Amino acid sequence: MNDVLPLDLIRRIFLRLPAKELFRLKCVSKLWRTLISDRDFAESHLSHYSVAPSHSCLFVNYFFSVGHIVDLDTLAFKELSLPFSRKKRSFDFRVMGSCRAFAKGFNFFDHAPLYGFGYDASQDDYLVVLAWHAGNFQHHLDCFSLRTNSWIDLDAALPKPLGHRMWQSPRSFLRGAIHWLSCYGAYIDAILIFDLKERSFSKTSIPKQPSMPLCLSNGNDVIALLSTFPKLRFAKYNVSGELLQQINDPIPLWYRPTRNRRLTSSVYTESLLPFPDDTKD
Amino acid sequence: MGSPLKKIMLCSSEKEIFSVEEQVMVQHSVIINNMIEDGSYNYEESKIPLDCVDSKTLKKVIDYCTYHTHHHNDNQEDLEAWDAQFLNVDSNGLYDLLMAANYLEIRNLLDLIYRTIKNMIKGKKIDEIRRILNIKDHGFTPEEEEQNRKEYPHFY
Repeated sequence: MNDVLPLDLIRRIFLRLPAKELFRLKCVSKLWRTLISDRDFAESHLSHYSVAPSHSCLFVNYFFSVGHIVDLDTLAFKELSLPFSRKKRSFDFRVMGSCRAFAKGFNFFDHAPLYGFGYDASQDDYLVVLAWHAGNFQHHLDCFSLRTNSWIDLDAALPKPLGHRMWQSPRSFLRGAIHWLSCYGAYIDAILIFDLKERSFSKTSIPKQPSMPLCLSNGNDVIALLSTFPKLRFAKYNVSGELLQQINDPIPLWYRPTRNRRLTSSVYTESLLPFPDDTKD
Repeated sequence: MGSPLKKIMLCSSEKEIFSVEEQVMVQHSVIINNMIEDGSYNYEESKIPLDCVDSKTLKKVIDYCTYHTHHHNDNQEDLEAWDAQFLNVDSNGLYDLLMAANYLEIRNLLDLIYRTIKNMIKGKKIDEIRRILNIKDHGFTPEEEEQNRKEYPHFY
């Protein structure tokens, strides 16, 4: 195939394969390794493959110090090793969000009403966004740049009032902005958007949803998280909102979270992009 | 779109002439559609030279376009079965078809071939992929190859 097909055509076949598969294919030949390791290829693979990506959802229960990855296409799950042990629990560990195939975990106080993780293409920078309040009900917004390894004060950008709504996970990173779903009571009815380039917030309302949409599966069906307590329940809808399938509890019994907020989650897609290696947590 | 009765001439690398219904090629090939639309094709004299497509491959490409033009209302399953039978060729035949489809910009055939090659590779062991795709020279030094095999034994 190497000497028969032009590189461009080999690249186009690779664009159709998931990242996991391509990692393996690096061993087929030196030429394939060079093609797959190319940074530009990784970028186009991410944007091409996200037309029909394979999504996974990362769940971390910090109380039991266990993590699971649920493949949202097949709803198969596998265990994940966490950077801390069961004996030495890390009660402040949350999954912050994910973008461009990186999930970001973080240790911080429970009082943050908003947190998320995204990528600013204009600066080629990964940003951690964190809103928190001091004792006097004063909200603050800070943003941590992985490129400069420093905090940026963004208090001025914060919408006032932030309100007492719950800005829930999944904190999805889409088109240069972090999106939070807002639940009011049992319903989700708004999306709060933070544009990482403009560093500004906007809000949009959506029809009331009883469940939390996670992603599109195979480009057609909506996978939604129905509840995390007392069981993990997923549902599959078609785009016109008809329920296709309901899936209960793919996670083993002992993992069941006793309380909702001990479980944090984020949806991510797989990619070939290298993580910026000059960064420290 | 051309009229159904008009014919156009395609010329393979062996200078063999194939006469095809115009609408069959116009519907499938972006390149031929452009040629007809901008008027650069002369029905009396022109033969479209396809210097990098041999007769055997060109015949297959024409078969594909003709079938899909006349059977586009068939159910999906029948079409997929026909496609699978159509692409039941060795890897060299598949590459030739890929090159031809790429040159003529026949998007649905390209898509079909990409999907087929993708399925040939997916989930297979490295040694198997090399055999299926006829990759004789992997380009790794013996040391690198040994290192890879040691590091990821389950890939091979």
